[in-house]
Amino acid sequence: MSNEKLLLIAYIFIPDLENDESLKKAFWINFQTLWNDFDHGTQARLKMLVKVIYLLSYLFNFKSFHALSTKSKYRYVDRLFQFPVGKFVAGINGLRSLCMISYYNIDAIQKEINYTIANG
Amino acid sequence: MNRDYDIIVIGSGVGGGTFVDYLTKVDRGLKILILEAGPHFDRFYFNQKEIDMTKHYINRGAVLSDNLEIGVAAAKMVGGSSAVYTGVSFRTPDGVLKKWKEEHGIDLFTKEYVENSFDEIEKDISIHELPESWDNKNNQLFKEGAQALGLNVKRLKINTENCLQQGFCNLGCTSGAKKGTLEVQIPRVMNRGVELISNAHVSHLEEGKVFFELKDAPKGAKENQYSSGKYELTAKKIVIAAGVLNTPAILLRSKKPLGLKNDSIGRYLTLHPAINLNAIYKDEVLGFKGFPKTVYVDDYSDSDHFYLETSFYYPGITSKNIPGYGTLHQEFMKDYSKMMSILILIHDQAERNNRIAIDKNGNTKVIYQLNPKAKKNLVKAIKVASEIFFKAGCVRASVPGSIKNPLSKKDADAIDQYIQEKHLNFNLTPMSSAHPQGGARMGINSEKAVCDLYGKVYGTKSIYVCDASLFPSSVKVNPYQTIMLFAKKIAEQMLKEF
Repeated sequence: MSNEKLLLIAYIFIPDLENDESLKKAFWINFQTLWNDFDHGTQARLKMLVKVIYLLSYLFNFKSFHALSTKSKYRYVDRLFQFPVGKFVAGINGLRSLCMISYYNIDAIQKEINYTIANG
Repeated sequence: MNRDYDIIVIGSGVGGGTFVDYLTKVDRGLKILILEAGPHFDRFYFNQKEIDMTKHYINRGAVLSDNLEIGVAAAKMVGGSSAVYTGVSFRTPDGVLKKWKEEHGIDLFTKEYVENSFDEIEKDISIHELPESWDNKNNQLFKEGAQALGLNVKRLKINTENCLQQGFCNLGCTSGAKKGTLEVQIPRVMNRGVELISNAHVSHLEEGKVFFELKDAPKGAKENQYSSGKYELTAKKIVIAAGVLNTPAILLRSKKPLGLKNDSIGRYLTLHPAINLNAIYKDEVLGFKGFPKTVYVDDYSDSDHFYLETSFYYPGITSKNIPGYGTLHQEFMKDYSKMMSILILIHDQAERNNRIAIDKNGNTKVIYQLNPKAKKNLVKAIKVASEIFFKAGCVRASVPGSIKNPLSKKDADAIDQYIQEKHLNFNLTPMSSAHPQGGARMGINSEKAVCDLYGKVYGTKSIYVCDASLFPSSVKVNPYQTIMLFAKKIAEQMLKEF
C-alpha cells in the first residue's frame, strides 16, 4: 500500500500526525508491523478500500482526494462513514482502528499521554 | 515422536490443560500427547508492549464476524486464552446448570459435585477476591458511581498468586502470577510425562487419527523438537479442546472423513458480546496501573441480561474503542491518564443461525447477528454505564449509540435523548467478544446436540470435545471455571474406559 495515500487518510483520523515527520515515520513502522500480520485476503481488501476512497472522491467531489482542502477531506470522510453499505463503513472503521493503534503505540505519543509499561 | 498414543488432546488452553491434568493425577501409564497450534512462550517472553504481544491473539484479537459487527479475541499459544485473560473467575450460575439439565438433559453435575469441584479448583489455581486495598482509582470510581445509583457492587474473583499488580494481564503475565494452564496445568502434566507439541496445526481428523502440520517456532518461542512438515498420528481417543473458534471448524473439516451428518456442528454459537466505554475524570486515574478489574455489577442480569465490569485497556485498543476521529477524538485521548473505563457484557441467546462455519479453504468463519432484544439490552447497559461515569465525577464520556459525542456532565440528565438504539451502528462501533461458547453443544438429543454426556461426538467412536464449544447456551459469566468443571467430568468419565 502506498505510504503517501494511506497517510493522507490517516491525517483526517489523527490531525497531529500531519506536521511531524518523526511521528509519521514511527506511525508507518507500526502500521507495517500490523499490516505484515494480515493474510493476503485482508491486505487485498484494505488496498482496495483505499483505492475506492480515492476513486469515490472523483465521484462525490469532482476532484482527487489529494486535491481536496483539509476541510473538504473531513466532510468527505464524514460522508463515507454514513455510506449506506454496512460493510464499506465497517471497512473504513477498520482502517481508522489500524491508524489509531499504529499512532497510539508510538513511544513519543505514549509518553505524551502519560502511559508507561510496568517493566519499562 | 511416538506415532501411536492412548489420547491426543488438541489444544492446551483451559479445556485441554485441565482435562489432561485430571486425566494424569494418578499414573495409569497412559501415553498422552497435547497438540497446540500456537507457540510455547514462557513468562520471560512477554514484554507488555501492545503491538508486540497482540500478535499472539488470532488475527490480532479481532476475528471478525461475516457482517463485521463483532470481533472475537482468542489467544493462540500454549495456555490458550488463559495466558492472556485477566483472571476473572466465576462459578457456573445455578440457573444455567438447571437450564442445561432441563432443556438438554445434562444431568452430570449434582450440587455436591459442583461445589466440591469448584472448591478444589479454586484452591488449586488460587481463585480469590482481591483485597479492597488493591482497587485502583478506576475501580474505586466504578464503585462510587454505581453505589450512587443504588447498585450493588460485588467483588470479582481472580486466579492469581503473588500478583505484582502490574496491570498487563491481557498481554501475558510477566511475573507468572496468573494461574492459567501455561503456569499451572501444562508444566504439571509435562512433569508427569505428557508430551506437548506446539506450532501444530490440525487440519482434520479421521477415526483414531489426527492430521496436522508442524510449523516453525517463531522467534522467542521454545524450539520444536521435530522437523516442520505434515504428520499423521493415531490414538485410541482424540479430544478436541481447541477453543470455540477452532473446535467446530476441525469437526466441519472432518465431516466427510468421519462420516458426520449432524447439521448442528458449529451452531448455537454465543459470544457474550462486550462493549468498552470510556470517560474522562477530573483528575488523574492512571487506570492502566494496578490490577485492572476488581468489581462488577450484576443487578441487571435477570431483568436486562447484562453485567457491568471494570476494565482498562492499552492506548491502541482504547483509541479504537472510542468512537469518532479527528480533533475531538485526539483531545479525548490526550486525557488517557484521566480515563475511567467500563465493560458491558451481554447475555446473548443461543440461536441456530449464529454459528462457526468454514470457508472454501477450511478456515473459520464466524456468522453472528445480535438479537434485536439483546441490542435493546445493550442500549440500556450503555445508558447505565454512562450514568455511572457521571455519578463518579467524570466530566466527559464517549459512548457508542449516542447522537452526541462526547457527552458532557450537563448531558447526564438527558441521557435517554442522546443514547438511542437508532444511533447504535455496529459497523461504526463493533462489539467484541472474549468468551465465545457453543458450536459443539452437549445434549442427550443426538439430532440437536453434537456431543453426548461424555463429550463424545455423536456418530464417532473416538472423537471428543472438551472446551466451551460444549455449552448448549451462554453461561452468562466468564466461562473459565465452567470449562474446568466440564473438563474434570469428561476426564473422570474417560478414565473409566482405560
